[in-house]
Amino acid sequence: MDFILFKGYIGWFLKVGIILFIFLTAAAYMVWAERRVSAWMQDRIGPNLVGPFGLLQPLADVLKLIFKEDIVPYVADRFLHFLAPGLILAAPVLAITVIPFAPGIWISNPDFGLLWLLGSTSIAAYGVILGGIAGGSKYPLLGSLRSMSQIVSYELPMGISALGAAVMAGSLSLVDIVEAQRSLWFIVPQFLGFLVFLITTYAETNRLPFDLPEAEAELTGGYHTEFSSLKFGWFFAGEYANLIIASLSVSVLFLGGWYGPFLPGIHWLILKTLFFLFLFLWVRWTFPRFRFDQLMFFSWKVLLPLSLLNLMIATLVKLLW
Amino acid sequence: MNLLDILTYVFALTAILGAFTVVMHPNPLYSALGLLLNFFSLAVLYMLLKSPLLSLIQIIVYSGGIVVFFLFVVMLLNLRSPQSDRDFSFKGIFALIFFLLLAIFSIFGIITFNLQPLQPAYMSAKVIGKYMLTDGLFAFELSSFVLLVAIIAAVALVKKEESK
Amino acid sequence: MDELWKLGIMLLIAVILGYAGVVLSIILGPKRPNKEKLEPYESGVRPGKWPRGRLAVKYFLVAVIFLIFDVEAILLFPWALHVNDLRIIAAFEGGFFILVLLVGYVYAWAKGAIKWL
Repeated sequence: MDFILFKGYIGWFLKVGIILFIFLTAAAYMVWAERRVSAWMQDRIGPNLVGPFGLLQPLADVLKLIFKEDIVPYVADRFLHFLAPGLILAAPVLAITVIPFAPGIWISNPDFGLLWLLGSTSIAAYGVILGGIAGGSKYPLLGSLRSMSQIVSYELPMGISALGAAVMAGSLSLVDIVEAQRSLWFIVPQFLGFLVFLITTYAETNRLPFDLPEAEAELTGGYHTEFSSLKFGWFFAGEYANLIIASLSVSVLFLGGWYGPFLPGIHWLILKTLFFLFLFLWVRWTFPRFRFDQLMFFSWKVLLPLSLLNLMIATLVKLLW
Repeated sequence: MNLLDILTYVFALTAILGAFTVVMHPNPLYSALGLLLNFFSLAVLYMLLKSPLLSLIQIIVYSGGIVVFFLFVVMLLNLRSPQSDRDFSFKGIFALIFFLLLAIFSIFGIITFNLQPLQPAYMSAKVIGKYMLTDGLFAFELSSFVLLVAIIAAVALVKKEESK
Repeated sequence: MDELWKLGIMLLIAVILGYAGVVLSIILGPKRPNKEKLEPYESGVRPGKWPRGRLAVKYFLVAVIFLIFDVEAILLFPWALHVNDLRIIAAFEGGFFILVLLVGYVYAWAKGAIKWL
């Protein structure tokens, strides 16, 4: 009966199943949360008919999307049109693999976990880029172009600010990074790194104020304009799954993962993650969008020097300690 | 033949498939995608050789950087306009002769030197970092100069183009 | 089980999960295409020519500069693991590495290469 304790092969697959189920359900419920929170912020009601508080809305949405017609425009590239939506959902699933939730509760703990996390971000970028090219019309193409330069620009500060946490912990394994924060969360010595990382996650997940690849006002739907049925659903779910990954990684890298007073283990990680998820929604309905040149300026001339400065601080702190 | 060998052959084949797509496909966009397939297969092969750092570098720098760069170039020139050069050319003949020579030498080398398959040891980032900062320090610092030259060259080329 | 195998299995699961949904909805959805439905969405304007034309070279430049700094960032990852045990030596070695690239960064900035407009 080892597998009940998540030991052995069967136990591992059981753990994978449970984590993935919770993760994907959470991604679907983020859509619900976004609609409810935005409605609350704008003094509307939001979805409330399907189930209590509209809680069954995500289920209804997914079922509806599965049975909708898959429309491939005649200008579209059929192969890419098929390829892109799958990639955009596969990337967050790859990322969740290395995230530690509580002592012993993680799918895998490789000694290069941080690099794996960054690598999965660049795969997610391909979903967006290829999705835009696949559409074959102008709006998605523009969205895809913007997304390319945006992701390219923000990946650097993201990697270098995450490097600060790696220097502090002396390891690339995410479990080791959390363990190193037992006495002091990295947000204290690495406050700059935390800020830069948080900002870059907004850009990498295409959220406001950096949502230029899908700016509704100018590009209709951006890179996913030409998608329908569950292909569109995957773009939607992938975006929210990426939000969850981003919140989890900020909590793990800078806010001590499962460490915190009073409550045991996983509760803390969930609380921290929920806070950042709410922050994502809050920011979206509060701030206006950047202009594209401001966006590039901000990354190359503000965030990149700041992240390098943060790396220096990390090294100094490590040396003097 | 165990699972590891089978996987190695499968991803070696997809790497070659990707490389052929790069050269043969009339649509430059698909050539870039072929390159992506090739890089990804190489990353898996590095993983199978137990060198995760190299594999992740392959994903982050090559797939995440260089292929995006090529996609830019494809769009910079013209998307969706197959401009393949199907005429008879000496370049093709030259490449074919070079490829055949390389293949012959490789096979010859494998037979004569009786090469044995590599028994990979796990190369963690820590081991590579240790080497980079002690014995390989000169190469590590030199690489920063190489990158510096690359930045200056890129900026100078584009800026010269713009001032015209 | 080795961590690398776990990652491999997860790669397989991720791909299957991603494409199972896509294939499912292609199979289950109705297929009633008509000419209007298959036109690309161009805000009600009649679809024009293929999207073509040339891009500004600034996109290209951003990509090149990114590529170079990306290589720098990735080379710093193995370095980061040794600040703890090599102490001041590692700090100097890494500092010199970054300093050389900062020269390039300042040059690119001064030449206006990372100015967008």
